[in-house]
Amino acid sequence: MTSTVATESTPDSRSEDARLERELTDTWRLCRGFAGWFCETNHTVIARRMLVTAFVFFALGGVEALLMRLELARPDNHFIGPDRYDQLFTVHGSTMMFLFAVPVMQAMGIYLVPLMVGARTVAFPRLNAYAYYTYLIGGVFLYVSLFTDTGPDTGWFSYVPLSGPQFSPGKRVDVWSQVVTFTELSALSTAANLIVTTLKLRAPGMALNRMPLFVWAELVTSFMVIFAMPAVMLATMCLALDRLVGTHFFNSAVGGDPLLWQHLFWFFGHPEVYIIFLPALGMVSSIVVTFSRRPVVGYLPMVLSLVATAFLGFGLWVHHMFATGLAELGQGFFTAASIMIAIPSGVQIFCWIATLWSGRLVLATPLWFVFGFVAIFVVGGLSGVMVASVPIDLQVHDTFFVVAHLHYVLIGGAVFPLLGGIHYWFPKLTGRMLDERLGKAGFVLTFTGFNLTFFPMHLLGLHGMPRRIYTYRAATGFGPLNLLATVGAFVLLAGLLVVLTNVVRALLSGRDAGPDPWQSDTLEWSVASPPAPYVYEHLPCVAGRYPLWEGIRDCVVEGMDPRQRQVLVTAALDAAPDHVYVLPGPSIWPLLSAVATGVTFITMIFTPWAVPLGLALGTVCLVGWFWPRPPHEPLLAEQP
Amino acid sequence: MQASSRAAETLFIAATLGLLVFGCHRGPADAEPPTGRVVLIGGRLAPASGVEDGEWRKVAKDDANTRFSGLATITPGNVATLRVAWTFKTGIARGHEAAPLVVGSTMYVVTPFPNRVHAFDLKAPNGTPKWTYEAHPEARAQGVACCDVVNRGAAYDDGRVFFNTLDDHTIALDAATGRELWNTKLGEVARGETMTMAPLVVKGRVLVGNSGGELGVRGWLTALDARTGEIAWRAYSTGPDADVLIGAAFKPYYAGDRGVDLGVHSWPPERWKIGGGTVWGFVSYDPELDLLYYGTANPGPWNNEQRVGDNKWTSGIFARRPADGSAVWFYQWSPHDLYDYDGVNESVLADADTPNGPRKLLFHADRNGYLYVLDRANGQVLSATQFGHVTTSRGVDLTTGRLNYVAEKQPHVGQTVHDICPGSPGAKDWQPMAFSPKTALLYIPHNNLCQDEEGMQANYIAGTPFVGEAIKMRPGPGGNRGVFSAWDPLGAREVWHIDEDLPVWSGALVTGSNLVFYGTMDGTFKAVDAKTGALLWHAELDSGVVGQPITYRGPDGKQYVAVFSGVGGWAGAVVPAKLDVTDPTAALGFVNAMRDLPQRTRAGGTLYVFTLP
Amino acid sequence: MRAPSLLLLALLSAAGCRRERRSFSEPSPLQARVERAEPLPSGEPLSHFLDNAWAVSEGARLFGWYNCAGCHSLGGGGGMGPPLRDGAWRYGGAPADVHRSIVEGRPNGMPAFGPRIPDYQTWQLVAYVLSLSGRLRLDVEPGRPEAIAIGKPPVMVSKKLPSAEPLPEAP
Repeated sequence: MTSTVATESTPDSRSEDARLERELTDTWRLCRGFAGWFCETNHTVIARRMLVTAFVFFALGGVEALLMRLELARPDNHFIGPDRYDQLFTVHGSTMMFLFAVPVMQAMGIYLVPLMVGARTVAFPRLNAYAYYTYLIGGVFLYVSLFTDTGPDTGWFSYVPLSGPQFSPGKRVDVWSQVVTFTELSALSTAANLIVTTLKLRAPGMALNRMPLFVWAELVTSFMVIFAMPAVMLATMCLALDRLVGTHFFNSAVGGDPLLWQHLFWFFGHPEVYIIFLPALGMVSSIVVTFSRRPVVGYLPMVLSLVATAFLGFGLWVHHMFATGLAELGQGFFTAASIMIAIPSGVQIFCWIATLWSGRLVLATPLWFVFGFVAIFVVGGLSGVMVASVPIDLQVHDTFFVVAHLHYVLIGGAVFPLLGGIHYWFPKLTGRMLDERLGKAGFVLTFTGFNLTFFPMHLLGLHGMPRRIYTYRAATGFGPLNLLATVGAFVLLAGLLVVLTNVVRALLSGRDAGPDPWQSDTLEWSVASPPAPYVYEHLPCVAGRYPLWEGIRDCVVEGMDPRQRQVLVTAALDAAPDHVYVLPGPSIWPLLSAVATGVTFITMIFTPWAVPLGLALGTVCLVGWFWPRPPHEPLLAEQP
Repeated sequence: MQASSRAAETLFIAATLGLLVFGCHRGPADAEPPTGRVVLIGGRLAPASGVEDGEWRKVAKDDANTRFSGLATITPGNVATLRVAWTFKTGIARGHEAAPLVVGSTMYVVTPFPNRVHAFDLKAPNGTPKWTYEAHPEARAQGVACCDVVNRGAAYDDGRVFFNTLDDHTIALDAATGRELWNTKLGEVARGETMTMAPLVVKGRVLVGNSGGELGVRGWLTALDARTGEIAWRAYSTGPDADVLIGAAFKPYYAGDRGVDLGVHSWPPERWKIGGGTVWGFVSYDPELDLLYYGTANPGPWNNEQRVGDNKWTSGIFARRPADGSAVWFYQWSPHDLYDYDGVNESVLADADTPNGPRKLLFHADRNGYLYVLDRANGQVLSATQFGHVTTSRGVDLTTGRLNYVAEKQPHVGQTVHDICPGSPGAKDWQPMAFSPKTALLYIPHNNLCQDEEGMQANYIAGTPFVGEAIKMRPGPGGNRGVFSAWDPLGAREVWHIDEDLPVWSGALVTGSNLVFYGTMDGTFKAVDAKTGALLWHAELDSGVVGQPITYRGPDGKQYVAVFSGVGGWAGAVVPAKLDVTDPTAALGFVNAMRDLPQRTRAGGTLYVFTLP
Repeated sequence: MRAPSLLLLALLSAAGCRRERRSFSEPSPLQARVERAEPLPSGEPLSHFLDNAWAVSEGARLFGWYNCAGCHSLGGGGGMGPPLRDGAWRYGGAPADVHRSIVEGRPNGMPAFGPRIPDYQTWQLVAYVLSLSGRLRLDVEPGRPEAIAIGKPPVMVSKKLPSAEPLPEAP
């Protein structure tokens, strides 16, 4: 035991504090210069980069969506043409799912989880940097391919045999499968990081039943990632082998099975929805608690709902495959499971409503987004219950009804809470306040635009408009509703531009936020905005679920050496202090390893020699990564 | 007479044994003899025709298709000393499937494309050529010949030699001089038609049929006037009754074959026009009943999903009157054929003296793996027994006459069906069997091949293949690709068999001294004992043997045996056409089973004549 | 803001790279027929067919569709027609020779497909036929088909296309 937990604030002098701050700043100093840019491993920096990158991809995905809406705005339109259109919807879907939704939620987790649990940083800072660079390279690769007209064109779930070697010639699908494989590698790394951070780096006293709901959500999500992502990585690897080496995993003619692809993909694909959705629920919980000014109603049911959703989420992937011809029993089982998942979601919705109902509401912009979320998500949930039943699913399968449903669930369930979360945590990230009037205007526009865009798609789907068609005849009568949806898309764009303007304005000339502008309950609001690289001068300790409302400042951890990158490792369940662990500093090797990974995966598209090449490169990088650090002075030597 | 009574004795014992075996073998449901089965046991067999003249005037020796010669100078005792008398190189390196003809002291052979006819004077030593006729067929005909550019032989009648050319001409030559007497064009290469079969001449009618079942050709049998070459009649294998020459005389034994215009109604609309049913096998003739017998080939395309229905009158057998071609009866071996089981295999005619009275029988070893015994007077199936490994069907229902297909083995588009046995070449393809009245056994050269197959959409473009199946063949159970067996048709059992590594693609010949001759695709020509199958003699020829061996008595009184070597045909095309053995689907999938053949033999074309020293 | 702008710049520069073109609005068969006098009616240089995985893949489809596979077999191993994957050519293996073989036919049984196949499809067929003997770039060759397995040709012959005749270029 190298640290002690003091229950009283120590009567140290001001100079003592200043020395501590100086030493911490020195130890945790960010890298400088051009080279330093590539070495940095600080979690706030990496998380910020990840957020910005994710939003850039969000913007790119949005542009693709707008191009598609323009193409569909009127009948017999040949603005884009079928080939580009196929690439656009595939890259749009893949971007939003793989390059935006998952990374952005993980970025929020990487940024906020250490702050919320009272840790200086994440458990594996270098792994964190590696995950970011891998993701970045994957994303850039996808867009390079799109810009070179080699963008994947088989839809974001790339069903075989369409995506197999015969029907998708060239390198388009190879690009897709490699991008998926290595962005998922990034997601897996981040998930492992978040799990260890949550379970082992919590502030003393923050037992599992005192963790903020957002941290719970990230924890559960990370476990889901670890169980779901390998399935899709396996699938994409098999696809790559089928395409590049000529294996027959999915070739039914020689005993392969195309349905295997669908099973593997949706075993990942359905949990994926919850991987995106659960962190958003965590954000909603944070916002609801803060702006209701009261503890959440039903903490335990909320946590159990998160866990239940995670479990159930793995048991209903087959409802994406109702049209493949299932046995009756299978249909019944997966219909039941699909309808059942509405229960935990419903529990949470009612808990929030109860919290809001009984709280003293502060109607700030984040809360508006939460209201928007509830409204949209309920509609999306209802259409979800509809398509969970086999007869309706068979009728609307592969129509715009499904497109409407999935956007209601994903935008309603994830993007609105995320925007709320951005408005909520923006002061913490930047130290500036967003403008409330612009924020509310942004909400109104996005909410209106969203519903204008996607509600008509329900009707289009019911009228029989198939998804993924690049144009349609005037005689189909799809024209007016499509035009409405396109207009809606531009309203949505206007709303998002208002949000962006608000952000840019705040960055340039926003009001100073101070550490805790919202009078919130969780630990991240106890440190400066934006937080110092070491985050906590004194590691806090916690005695309840709402530390800031319960007087955290009276309890800190003593005895950590500020001259080393020390973190306090605590027990997984009750967060009792266990030992101090010294983290490695900045390093170029995560970036080099990510580059090696990228080179390997990209070369693999062209030659199997990539495997030995990658093995060699990987060996070099890992040796560099794990090269022994210079020995640290023993911690106790300096102590009196 | 003594010989024949001994034969009857042997037969009786064999038949009794057969009965015992059959009794033991009687399994569940499918082995139960259906009602209507005619007991033939104890019957006496004799060929329907034939008095030994020492000649070989027809490709099958006689109208009954026996390939039996009563010559007995070469015996099991002295065959070991058999040696080459003379050879003749044709200069053509393609599949030589033809049987030579020997009429008087002249031998006539017809070569594969470009279809030369050579006459040899047997009185002069070493096969001195007498005359040669060049048919000059169109070169483009080679592109529509499904299974190598073969020709299966000529016909002789009344001082004329008749043969078919690949580009659909039937030509009559003066046998003495080789002068062309008439030349009748019967089909269109541009539509995919070719002619490869050996004509049969019956009552002044030259009977010829067309090939091209893989190209959407509509099959027919045509009778030409032997004197003038004019078409006397043409009987199509598909289409309205008028085209098929079905009239009042038509009395098929089974109800499923009765009806009006079945050749139209058992097809999707208009499909009968490109429906196959070509006639490229051997024709038999029974002078007593005055009936012709010939088989019709597979329906087109192979992809069965594009031709729902029974696809009459393909993959079946017709009995017709030679005078006007009118059909008397029909039986379909493989209704709605699924696997390219052509029904063209030759029918051997024989009479049985059974306890229930004399029966006129017809033996036919079909591609579908069954050896059929039919009453040739009315087309009734008396028995149908598997003579090879069959997974595609479970027996023949003798009450309805229908083959019971195995549903799981039905090919579908976009789906691979594995272990289809026999494969498309069937348990036995065109390679003709021989029948010896002395042993009362059939000598069957056949295949042991299975295949995996996947259906695909077939598009009809005239003059191009119309198939729609991707196929990979491989050896059947046991790993041997061919079998030569002796079969007791009345006992419905195998008497002996020889496993051959390669498919036995040559014809068989049996002699009065109980010798059986056949060749293998690696170039070995063999003589075995007709009773035991013991190998008595063999010779290595310069190329694989896919021809039909014959025997004759030369002007010098010695017995000769002649056969073509020259590997080719569907099974052997991989050698002369230099197909790429790395593509398993080459030659409609046959190459996958014959990858080693190019190492085992080489292309060639030589006529070998053997005799005793 | 440096990161995203660098990213965008990098992406935009990628737009200048060579593209794999896929044209879905091919000339109608009739139009192609009228224009057949031109070496390449679609006005595209030959490399757009030979270096284009899409064209080769379309060629593979057409190879079955127009019954080429019936004679030359699905994998080009031959049957009624000669093999196409052994690198031996009776009538020349230059793209223009293969094109002429398809359009005009050859005397020993190759029918003339000129009246049946629009010219751009003929070039796609040429591209596929050349790929059978391993004559196209590795990344352009078709992968395995979704059908019964057909092996690749065992010996990769020279990747250089024979240029017995000058390649027709776009006018």
